[in-house]
Amino acid sequence: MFPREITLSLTSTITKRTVLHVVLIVLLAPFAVAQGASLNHAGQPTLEREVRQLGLSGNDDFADVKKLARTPVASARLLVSQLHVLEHPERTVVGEGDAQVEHVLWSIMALRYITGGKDFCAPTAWISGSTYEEGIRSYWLHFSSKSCVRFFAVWPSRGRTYIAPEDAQKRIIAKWKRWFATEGTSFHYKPLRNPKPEQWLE
Amino acid sequence: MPFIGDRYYMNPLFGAAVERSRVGDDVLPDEDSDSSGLHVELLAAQKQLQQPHSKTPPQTQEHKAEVGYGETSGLVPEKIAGAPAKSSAYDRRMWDENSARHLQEARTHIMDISERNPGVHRAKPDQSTISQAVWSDSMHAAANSIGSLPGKHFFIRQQGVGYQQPPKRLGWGQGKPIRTYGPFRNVGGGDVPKGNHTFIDIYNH
Repeated sequence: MFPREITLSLTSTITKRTVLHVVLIVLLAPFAVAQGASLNHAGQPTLEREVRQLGLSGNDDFADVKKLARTPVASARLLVSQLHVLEHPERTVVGEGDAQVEHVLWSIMALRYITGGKDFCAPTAWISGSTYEEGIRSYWLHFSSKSCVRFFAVWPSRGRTYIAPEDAQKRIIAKWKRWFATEGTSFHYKPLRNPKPEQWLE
Repeated sequence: MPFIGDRYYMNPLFGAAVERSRVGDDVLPDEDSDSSGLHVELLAAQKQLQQPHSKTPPQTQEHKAEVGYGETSGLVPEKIAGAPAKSSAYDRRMWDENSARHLQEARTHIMDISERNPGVHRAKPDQSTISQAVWSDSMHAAANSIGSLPGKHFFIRQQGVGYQQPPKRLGWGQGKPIRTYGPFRNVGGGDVPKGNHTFIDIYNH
């Protein structure tokens, strides 16, 4: 075989293989795209379901929060979207609250967990009255700061949860939304490790 | 010397002050009918309390007493068998000695825990006689608090009424407590249901 024939034969082989690869890519691409779409489709609803189930009776909330920490940006976006003002905050939650209350509390706790303990407080126009219960509520809501209240606070030895007044709730939710809009995607998420209850649960 | 003038006092100095000021009543006065003379003596007794028997410096002792007062001011010991039904909850003659001792131990224990876990309710007493008496008991319990007792959490419950353990959301107290104090009587605020079967559970996690 002359050198020219060798060259032509090699060129022909390369061309054939290239064509074959292109054909394979064209044929398989729709399946690959469909498979990818299927994975995304399955992943997002799972995350949404885990977020929506937080605080519901019988749900393993602690396990779900740990799972959410694996996809912090997507989780934080969903968790922030779950926050809303709780009505009748003057009612002390004794033990477990109803599903709506528990869901919002768990959304806040999950945000604290996946962000490594981030939290917001806000001032309130509410002034506690002279009753024992109001004094206790004020004590716990102001436990971390005299000038602002957290979204909720717990009296651990009584298992009683106190919810912030509505004006403070609104401000705190706005702070979470503003934070996610400005920093949510670039934030350095580092979930809490072996946290103490007061770091995220109380 | 826990009995002074036929009454049981966990704190002998406080007891002596009360007995000296007693004007013939069988029970301590109501919260509203305070006696300024008694108040002066109670304050004097508190100052003495901080001196020789305390294992903690005065400032620390008072800081810890705020925990005992804030968390347990509504609790009193069980009554002795045969105590009249109408006797005052604060009549120390009617207090069961063991129950009174256990309540003081429980106070010391939660003060120890407060060194490791800051999530406690602190409070100071008003000028009423009963508040001052409970404060004095708390100061006495604080004198024994050196942080050596175990546990990280405590939960106060009324047996058979309301929650018997903290909500799952708190992440602790779902197993067996490492120690339980009680029963005591809860005659105080509504944060724990009132009743005669009040217990204080101590948890590690």
